[in-house]
Amino acid sequence: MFSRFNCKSVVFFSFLVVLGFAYNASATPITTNAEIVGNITVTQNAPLNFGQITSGTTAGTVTLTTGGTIAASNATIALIGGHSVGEMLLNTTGVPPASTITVTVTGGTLTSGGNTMTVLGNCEGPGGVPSAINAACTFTVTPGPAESVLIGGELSVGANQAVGVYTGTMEVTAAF
Amino acid sequence: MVLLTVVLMHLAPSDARAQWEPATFTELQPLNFGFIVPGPAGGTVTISDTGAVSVTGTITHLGGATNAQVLMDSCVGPGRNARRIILVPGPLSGPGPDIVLNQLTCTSPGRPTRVNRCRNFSGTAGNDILLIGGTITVPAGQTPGVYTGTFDITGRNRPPCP
Repeated sequence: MFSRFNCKSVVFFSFLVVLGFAYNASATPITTNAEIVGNITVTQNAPLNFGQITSGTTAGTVTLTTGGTIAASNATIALIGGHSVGEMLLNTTGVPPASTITVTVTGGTLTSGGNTMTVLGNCEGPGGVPSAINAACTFTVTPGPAESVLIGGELSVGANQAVGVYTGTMEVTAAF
Repeated sequence: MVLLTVVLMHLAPSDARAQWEPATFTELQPLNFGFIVPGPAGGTVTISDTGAVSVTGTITHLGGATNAQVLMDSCVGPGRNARRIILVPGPLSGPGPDIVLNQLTCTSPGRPTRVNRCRNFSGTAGNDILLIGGTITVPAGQTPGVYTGTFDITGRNRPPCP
């Protein structure tokens, strides 16, 4: 003789048995993908060098383009030579083809003892379009270990700037 | 015992229309999260079931993402093709720690988006294409490289086919 509780238990059990026979799904795997791209690394391949300069009685600037052309803003500044364009190498391994990269050059200060000069930078990536002084350059890259970015700049030279070797750094950053 | 026998007779598939059978799925397009730069804090990348990309945190997405497209057999006639499609996320493996696939979303013709499942009542015979998206979590410092994995899809049909 069934009690009320026992009847419910039997009905539930029977339902499970029927479903178990009627439906037995097999899973189909569907592919998922993702590609993690690392940060772009930037290394210096060549320093930016304004060469030998003779200051004059009037303050001015010396501009060195990414194409290697150097010029002074006034005639009292004499450019003797020895200048060279800077070059940074970007490691873009793993980035998707034709990725757009923006490079920023942050100006700095050159020092010689207690004397200083300020410098601003610009850049030119693959494609050959240089940015304005103190402006970022944007370009597309091909994935690889050494995408070249040329660095130029503008050096502010004081009137009768003290003689000496001036050194400093600028910061170059690259971002997607 | 008498009661058990009666119940089984009533529910047993003596009529084939009452049976559920496994559905067949064919991958037409994988779920591809594309190129991802985690940034200093990481975050999540979501591909909607219709293919739209959204990110959280410091992630930069560089393109290349696609939703999954899965062909599902639909061999039953009007009003008879009620099917429950279950999606089970799985991790993506690669050169670094596994990337977690948090959840999947799915839509099918005329049906709203659902999480980790689809519901399809297309009402006509033929093949339906399911659109599937998902969300992954990418931590900061995730090792660069290609990560691959799978998610499982199951479903059921109610025959007979016309």
